[in-house]
Amino acid sequence: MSKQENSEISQQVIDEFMKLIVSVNNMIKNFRSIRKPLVESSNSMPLASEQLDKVTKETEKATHQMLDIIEGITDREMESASLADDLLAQQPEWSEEAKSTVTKIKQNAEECQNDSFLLMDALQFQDITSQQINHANTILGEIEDKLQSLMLIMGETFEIREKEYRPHDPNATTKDGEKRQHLVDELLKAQQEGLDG
Amino acid sequence: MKILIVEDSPTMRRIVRNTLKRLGYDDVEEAEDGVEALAALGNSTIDFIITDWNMPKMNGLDFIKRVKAHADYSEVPILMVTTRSVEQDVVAALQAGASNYIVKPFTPQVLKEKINEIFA
Repeated sequence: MSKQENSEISQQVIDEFMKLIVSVNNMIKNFRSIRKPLVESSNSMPLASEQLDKVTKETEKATHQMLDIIEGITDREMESASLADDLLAQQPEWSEEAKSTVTKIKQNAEECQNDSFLLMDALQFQDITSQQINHANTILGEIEDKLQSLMLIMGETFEIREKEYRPHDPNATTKDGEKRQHLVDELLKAQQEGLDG
Repeated sequence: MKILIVEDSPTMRRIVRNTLKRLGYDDVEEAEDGVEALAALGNSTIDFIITDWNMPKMNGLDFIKRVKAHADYSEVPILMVTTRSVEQDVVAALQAGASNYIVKPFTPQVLKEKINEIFA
């Protein structure tokens, strides 16, 4: 290899080395620029988790307020239906019109009672949404752990938060309850037939 | 008949208790998780258990296994009431000893049918 060729190769190596230095410098700048948002994101996780817990507590509180009212309505309607029954039994001499009116009052009371139970059944959403929130909270905790792993690589110091265990079904849903119950019933049937057979 | 409801959600405990009352079952006890439920079983005679799956301390599946392994309570029928509806969960609950299985959200009619099936 000639002196001229050697010099060209050396220059190429130097050029490449300079490019590498620029690239590493840029990388360091980039790391520095993401460090702050990374720390901020990690620090905001406990607050986000707390907010989600507040949503669960607030919906639970509101649901119980509704249940208080529904239970009150149900009890009063039950009493009304029972009083109407007593009246009909105690007043055999009443006109047909009077009997019909009291019977209608009793029917209305029973229908209101049934509607109250339907409202109560619908409040099962609170348990299901709280499980969905618990799932979201668990994911937030996992993201926090991953962000902290990155922070550790960057030499950041942080406090490790002890995360509360929130039991939940990751697939909890209010949808297709009837359909899912039907599938479960089919499974139960198959299992039973397996045992019998 | 004395019924034990094992459920960590206060809302669901209240809904199940009210539904049972509507179906004519007034004698009901409540526990927040499997550990509390096992203690309740030791303190009074329970004829029927309704349990959730996802609970702290001891989940419903482990609770069923513990009940079925206990000489004094192994014959008590257990109804699982849970949001979990995938096949492997249903099979696991049955293998653990659940007598029947209800998917949340449930209707009073389904609860009635399942209780009737268990005690038929």
